[in-house]
Amino acid sequence: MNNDLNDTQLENLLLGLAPAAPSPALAQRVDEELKLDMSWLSTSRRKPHHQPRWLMSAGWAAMGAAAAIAVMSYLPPQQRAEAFASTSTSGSKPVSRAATTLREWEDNQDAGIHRGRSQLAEKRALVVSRELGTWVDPRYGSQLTMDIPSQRQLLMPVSYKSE
Amino acid sequence: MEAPFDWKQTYNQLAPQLVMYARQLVAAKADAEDVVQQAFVRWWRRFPEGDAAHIPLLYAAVRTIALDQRRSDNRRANREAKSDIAVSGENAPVFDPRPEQKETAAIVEKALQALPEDQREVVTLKLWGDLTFNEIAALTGGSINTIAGRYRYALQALHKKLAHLRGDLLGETSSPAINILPFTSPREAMS
Repeated sequence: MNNDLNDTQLENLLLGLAPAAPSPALAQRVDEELKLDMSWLSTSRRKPHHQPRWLMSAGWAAMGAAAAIAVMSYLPPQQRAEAFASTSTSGSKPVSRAATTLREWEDNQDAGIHRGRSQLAEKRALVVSRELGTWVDPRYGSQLTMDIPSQRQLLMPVSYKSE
Repeated sequence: MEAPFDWKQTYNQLAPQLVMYARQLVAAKADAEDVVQQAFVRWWRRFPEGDAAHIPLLYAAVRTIALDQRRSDNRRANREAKSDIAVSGENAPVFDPRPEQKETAAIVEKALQALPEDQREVVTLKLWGDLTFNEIAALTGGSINTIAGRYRYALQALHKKLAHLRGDLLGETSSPAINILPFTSPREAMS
């Protein structure tokens, strides 16, 4: 009988020995660790989506700017310039100031001479103009130009030369 | 719908071989189990389907973690040696033999321990890990010829170590009453 142990027999012999089983605690530890993963996954799935913080601040700023523009559009030009200068600065010190204000008449509709409530003659005219205001903030060297159309009715007293 | 949480089947197939491999790199069984725990959890997070094609990566994770742990253990051992604190070792058996295999298992375990570490690592990965030489080469960073050579040298060394038991061992292996393969290979079981 040949007692030589060839490679295949040796490999089979070694493979016939089963590795020792790990302790039950190992499976339990793996279980706990993987369960932690699963619980984390399930909580993260339900997590609501939060908007970025800067978006809320930017929203409030945009609303404030829109309100300021709406108020300014109802103010007379002089007050508007002052209001813009005061609202565009922080605190009590006005920083922005009106640099130039140009107004040009675009149309003049003569409505004729009428007599008013006091029975005095007055000439009525409808003036369509366009106001071009420029505001400058010297802190940043920024410049804002607004084009504001307007339509006004003018009443001019009329006097007649007696002969 | 969540994926089925069936890691246990994969774990039961692989854990004994993984712990055995880890024990070739770190001495104590408890340390080897720590290594396997970390490696398996990492691997399962990465491959929750437990695909058999990724098993070499699991062994690679075991190797990386075990080598890291061994480095820190060496530093700790040096510190403890300086402070005269004994390092507790654990000599739990590597194999889980049937009653008739106990003597053989003790001899084989001793013979394996006598091998150089790089040869022992290749034998463990090839036989019990069921990896190919190519996979072992990729895992250890060596060439396939080097790995095959280490395996050949290891078998030659085991031949010599087990020579005096040749007759008994052959008697065991040729006996039809003894199942030489008590467990299926991981890939066969998982496929």
